[in-house]
Amino acid sequence: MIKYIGAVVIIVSCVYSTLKAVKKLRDREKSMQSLCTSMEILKDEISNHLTPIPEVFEMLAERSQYPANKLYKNALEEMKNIGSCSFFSIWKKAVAETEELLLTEPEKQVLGEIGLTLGRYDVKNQEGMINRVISRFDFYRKRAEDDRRQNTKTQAYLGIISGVFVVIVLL
Amino acid sequence: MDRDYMVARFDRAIKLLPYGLREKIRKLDKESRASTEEIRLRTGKAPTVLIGGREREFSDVPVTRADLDMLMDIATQVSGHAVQSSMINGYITSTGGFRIGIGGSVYMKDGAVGGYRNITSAAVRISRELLGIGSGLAGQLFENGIFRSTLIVSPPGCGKTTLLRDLIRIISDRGVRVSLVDERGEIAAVFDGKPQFDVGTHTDVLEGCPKAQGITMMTRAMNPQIIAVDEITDIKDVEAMINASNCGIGFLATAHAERLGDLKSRPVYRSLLHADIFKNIIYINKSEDRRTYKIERTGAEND
Repeated sequence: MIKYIGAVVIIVSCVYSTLKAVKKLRDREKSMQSLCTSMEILKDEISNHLTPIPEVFEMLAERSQYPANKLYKNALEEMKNIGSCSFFSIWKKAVAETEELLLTEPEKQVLGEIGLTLGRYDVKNQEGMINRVISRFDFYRKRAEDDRRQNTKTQAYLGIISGVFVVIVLL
Repeated sequence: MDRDYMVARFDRAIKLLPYGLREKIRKLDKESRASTEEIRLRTGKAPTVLIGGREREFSDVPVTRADLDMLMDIATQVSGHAVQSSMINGYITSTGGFRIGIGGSVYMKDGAVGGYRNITSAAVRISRELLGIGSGLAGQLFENGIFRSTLIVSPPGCGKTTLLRDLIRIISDRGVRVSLVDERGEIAAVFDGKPQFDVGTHTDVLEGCPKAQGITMMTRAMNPQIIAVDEITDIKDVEAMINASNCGIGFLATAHAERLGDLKSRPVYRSLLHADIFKNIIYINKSEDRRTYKIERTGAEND
């Protein structure tokens, strides 16, 4: 009886870890999507309404989708240190500390570069930079979507099979 | 003037500086802090404070480009785009009502200044609100309870804007509807939707709008009894003032000049005086630390 309970536990834990990996793929795709949407709003607010950055960040922290809203919330919080730190370092820190975004290092670097231009005097420059980052993140989003599509089934099968395999070996 | 208030304004202004410069300037003695008129930063040069018309270094460490960028980031709250219209005129107004003049390389767009390529110098002007300086004058601007349009005249740096602000406050607090067209944001210094200086309880502010357009807009929209503007410099301003004046609106304005005679020699003001809008002229006389005011009635002279 204990053997069967053990077998079920092993299979369930293998399936669980597989589902967790699949969920991470889904969350990454969702994160990219939320970042793209929020950056479209950011661009619109800067170019069409000349809204000050703290005001846009506050709006995005409240209204944009999870997990992008966390990034703006963290950046807004860090902006209290402007004067002892540059905005670039504040933004980079917010990007690095918002772990919910599930970004890789190169993705963090691309997003971090916005901090060099954001809030600087020329609207056109800011617009150009945000557009470049949006197009990069749109690419990352598509890649994350492909990853999810290709890997969801494979990982699910692998999870179940490896669970069954471990059970057979132990029995 | 209250010395503690002067020091408090200085302390507030230095919050606009990057941390390193702020720590250095904080070491100035109380007397210097109270009498500092401007803080001046130039790339590659030692930072200075302007006291009594003379610059004095407060650190021997040269100002860097990063210092100026950070000053702008603090002053604009990292929102240069939001103050672009005033930047192309060479200044910005920050929280606290401090005006920052900017020098650097500009780029042109469609024949006009499009913006700054880089900033190489900045002058933070420590504006101070002098509540009550107009209390002895305000009553004299009315005749039989009706406000008579008034022009404040003095050379630069004598406190025209400061007097204008206080007169607006006093008159507005008496229940008179004042529309303030604050093109350069120096009078009310609106920041985050709130005037940083007290401009009275019945004052409506239109900030950042060219005076001529602003006068027309406020006349149409706000039903003002008085319109206040700072530094009339353009013939379009004069035309707008004449039109509004014909609607029965009084004016409280300022102009750069020593005397009325100087104004008459300039075409812009000649037409304004010819239109006989202003019934009172206030002259400001500044000697050392003291300012005195003289009112002259103009009606007969301009008839």
